[in-house]
Amino acid sequence: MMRRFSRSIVARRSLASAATAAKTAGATASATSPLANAQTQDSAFDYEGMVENEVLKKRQDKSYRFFNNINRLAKEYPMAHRQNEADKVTVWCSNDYLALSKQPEVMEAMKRAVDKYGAGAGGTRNIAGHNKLTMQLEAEIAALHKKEGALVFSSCFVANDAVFSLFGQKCKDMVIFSDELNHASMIIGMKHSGLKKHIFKHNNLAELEQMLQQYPKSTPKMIAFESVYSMAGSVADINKICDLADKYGAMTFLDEVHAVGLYGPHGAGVAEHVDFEAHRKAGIASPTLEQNNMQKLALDRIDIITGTLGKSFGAVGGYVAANKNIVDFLRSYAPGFIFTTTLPPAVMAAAAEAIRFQRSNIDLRTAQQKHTNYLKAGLQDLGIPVVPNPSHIVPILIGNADLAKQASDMLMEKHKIYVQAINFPTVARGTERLRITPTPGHTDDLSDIMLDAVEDVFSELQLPRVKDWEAQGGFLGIGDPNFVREPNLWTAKQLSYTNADLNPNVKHPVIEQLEVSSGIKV
Amino acid sequence: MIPVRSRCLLSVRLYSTTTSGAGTTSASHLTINGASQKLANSNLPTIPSPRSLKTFLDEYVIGQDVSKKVLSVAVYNHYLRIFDRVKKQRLKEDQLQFLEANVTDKNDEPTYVPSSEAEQGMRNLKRQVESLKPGSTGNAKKMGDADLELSKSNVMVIGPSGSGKTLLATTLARVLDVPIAITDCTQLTQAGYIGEDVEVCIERLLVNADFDVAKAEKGIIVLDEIDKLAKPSASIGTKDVSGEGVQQSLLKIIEGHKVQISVKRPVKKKDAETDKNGNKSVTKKEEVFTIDTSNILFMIMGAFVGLDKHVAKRIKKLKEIDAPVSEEAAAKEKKQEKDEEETKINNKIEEVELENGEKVSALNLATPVDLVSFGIIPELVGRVPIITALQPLQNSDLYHILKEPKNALLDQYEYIFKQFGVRLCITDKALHKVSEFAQKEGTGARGLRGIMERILLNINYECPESGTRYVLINEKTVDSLQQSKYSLATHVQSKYYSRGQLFDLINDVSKEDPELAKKLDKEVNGITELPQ
Repeated sequence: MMRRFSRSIVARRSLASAATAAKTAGATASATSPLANAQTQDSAFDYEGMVENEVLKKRQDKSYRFFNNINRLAKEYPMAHRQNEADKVTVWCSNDYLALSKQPEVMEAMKRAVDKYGAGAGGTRNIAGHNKLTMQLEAEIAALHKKEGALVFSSCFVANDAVFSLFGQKCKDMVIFSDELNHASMIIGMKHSGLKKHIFKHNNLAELEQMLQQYPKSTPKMIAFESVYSMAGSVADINKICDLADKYGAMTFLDEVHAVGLYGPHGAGVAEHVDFEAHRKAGIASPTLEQNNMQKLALDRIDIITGTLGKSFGAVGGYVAANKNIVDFLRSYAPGFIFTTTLPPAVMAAAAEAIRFQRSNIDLRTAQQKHTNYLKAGLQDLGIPVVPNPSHIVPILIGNADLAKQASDMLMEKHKIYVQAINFPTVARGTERLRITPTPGHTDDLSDIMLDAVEDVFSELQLPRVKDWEAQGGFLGIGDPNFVREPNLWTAKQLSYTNADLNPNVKHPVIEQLEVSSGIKV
Repeated sequence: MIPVRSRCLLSVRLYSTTTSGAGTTSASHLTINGASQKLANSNLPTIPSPRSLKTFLDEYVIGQDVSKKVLSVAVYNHYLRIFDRVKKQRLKEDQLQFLEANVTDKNDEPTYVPSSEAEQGMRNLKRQVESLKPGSTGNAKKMGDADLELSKSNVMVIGPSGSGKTLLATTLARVLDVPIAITDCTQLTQAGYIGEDVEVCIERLLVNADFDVAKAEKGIIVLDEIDKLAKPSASIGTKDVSGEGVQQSLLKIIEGHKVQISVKRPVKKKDAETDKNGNKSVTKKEEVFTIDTSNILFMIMGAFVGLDKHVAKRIKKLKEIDAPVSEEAAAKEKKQEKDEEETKINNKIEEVELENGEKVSALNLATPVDLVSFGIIPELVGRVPIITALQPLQNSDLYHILKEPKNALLDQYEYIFKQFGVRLCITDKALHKVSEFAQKEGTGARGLRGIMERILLNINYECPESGTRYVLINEKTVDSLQQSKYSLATHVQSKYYSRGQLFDLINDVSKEDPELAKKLDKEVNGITELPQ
């Protein structure tokens, strides 16, 4: 690769010099010899060496990655085969949280769309890539988050990047307040925005307030945070952050990537979960102020919500849900939206169907939570260190890149269980972990097998347990005497709800296409 | 087992706890230690196990089970010790690499945010690395293993002439991939006198190690014929420069000492000068090397003629103190001694009867005190903690030596005779007889060769370029060697057969050695059948 690259540079240079007729001889020499200019002994930059050196660094600090070949089977979920089709493993770390990618209804919708509209979208949204399925999907997303509009991106990484970049371009004196554990896509977006930013300690609202206080209310501000932090499973207090935003005149940006499909009676994420009862009763409609004890809805208080179609919704892609104007703003300006091909029709059909399907299936969410609770309780009994959190993520702390990989390999080879070791840069160095994500299909029987396997790996590799961390004074809330455990997001009462407890209007609702998807007529 | 450390960096006792002393935490240390050991073991270079070393020795050396075991274990431990050092070195290097890789460059990452989790993680990492370092506080006990320097255990091998001491050493040298040098002590003298200095053994080792000092420092030095350095029991008034003096100068080297030697090293030249006769003149350059002998394993060997008598006498004395011998028995013993002296079979190794009635070679019971009274200075004896004695070869051992090992005498002679077209057939009974003779001679396995040579002399003289195709040596042939009780004849009766007399040969052979006859039959039939 690199060699080709450097050669093309030389070639281009030679073309340029060929234009000046006097240097023709020198140009042909530069095309053949490694010395660009024989007179000055000037040699080209060692591109290959630079690249190799950087990769070597990754190997040295043990954060070099090997990808596992995992082929998740649609009909044998949660099994997957490896290189050899007979070699099957149980997948315990997929972000297909509700297994909707294998849901027959979703697959059916996808097949229908493929048969009718083919494989690809055919262009950008502006040029031949805007279609009925796009509008349906955006309407579906807006209805899910009870927002005025939504915009679909290639991925949520792009969506996050686009939002910050665009605000940076259009609102140059904006200040961003960012949680330190925010996802890389937001960090990159902020970098691209070039805006001034303050990073507050994870979920530390006192520090956030201090930072906000430094600026007059008139200064444009944006508070960027996530609802469920993917690698630790911690959850932000949305209402309190919105209180601060109101007090200091800030916009709020909430990334719900790891929460959509899993929280709220209809799977709109933690912002919906906060006002669980009101939403449950209202169903597809937005609850009135009276229905929510005169409290403003968290969903309404958040200005910009981003989410993904690739995790709980089992497809691929990302989106922004916000009011009409913000959506129109992004639609009109964001390069990450404008200059890219629309998602394939089939993907959008599948995603829309997944959102519809999960909306009326609270059973999926409660099953997922119950399985998580079972697994967490089992791990606690074994003294396995799990980073404490109120969500559905089970991060087993290892604290060492090398050992985390060994543990993962051992689970795979010996126990036929796939749990990916999470290392730098996804998590900080020294906080490497095994991240387990149960799904509705990971029954308690499977959990018992998992628990035995984890116990075996921990004793075989002599990995540190809760008591070891305790002796060391605690780490990431494990074995920390001062750590206050948060109650689970899903209360016992909420877990007792079934599909029948939902408002009947969530079954097959009629959702109208949004004007903002195509452009608002004046 | 030798405690070993992992070279995979963080796998080693990472989770050090700041509070130590509580029972639970120290237990967890132990378990973590276990993990790192397991990990470390997987990275161990393959060391031949003592068992496989002994199996190799078995192929070449007959008998001497105990001594083979002792040597195999000594060599195995020597290997372990060397690799232990290598591993510790590697561990340190890895730590450094890891620290560098992790503490620097972190801002390169495009998505890096200095979060509190990153800080905590870094603290965790630093603690892990800290706990790896020797001398870190709070885990002094744990670090005991890492600081432990393994010292060597040199070996002394005692055995009568021809029992296989040197063969053991040379055979070991073949299987090992550490350099080994065998030096005869007889040529050594104290520094400054004519003769070789003791440093010559290290020089040889260095040459065997291709002038690689690091490799030489892991080598094995065999000092043969150490008993020849024994100081005379009575002082003769002059300085004993080739005996006691050499022993003294060996002390420091054996103990572990930096020795400076200057060696003439051949200089590699592309066009070595060649004179008109085609002789190459090799230019040599004198170079000075400093070699630390503290990791070189020393094997000291000697026949210690007379040591057995000394031991036997000492034990007899002790026995007499315990239980006085009756006069009758004493007289009987004296007579026996006299008989022995008369028959001059004094090169037989004394045997001592143990309390359980078993008879063992007196050499087995040799103690450092015996060695000192033999004339080895106590300082030297003290530096060689392992003493093993080779058994004098028995009749059956000699028989096996003739037949079984690689490069067996029988194979050698059969090969020689095949060169001039004669099939040498020696019956089993004849071989037994040969080993009996050799046993009487008392020169151990070497004696076998002498007897064989004498038997085969005439045959070797007469057979080439005659019609003889087969030679049979049976019990009678060997018997005819003994002319009288004290001398051996030069002419032996052996039977020659021409090609046509094959049938007679097989007949004759089958009288004494049916197996050989069968073998012959097969061989011959194979040959005759081929042309058809």
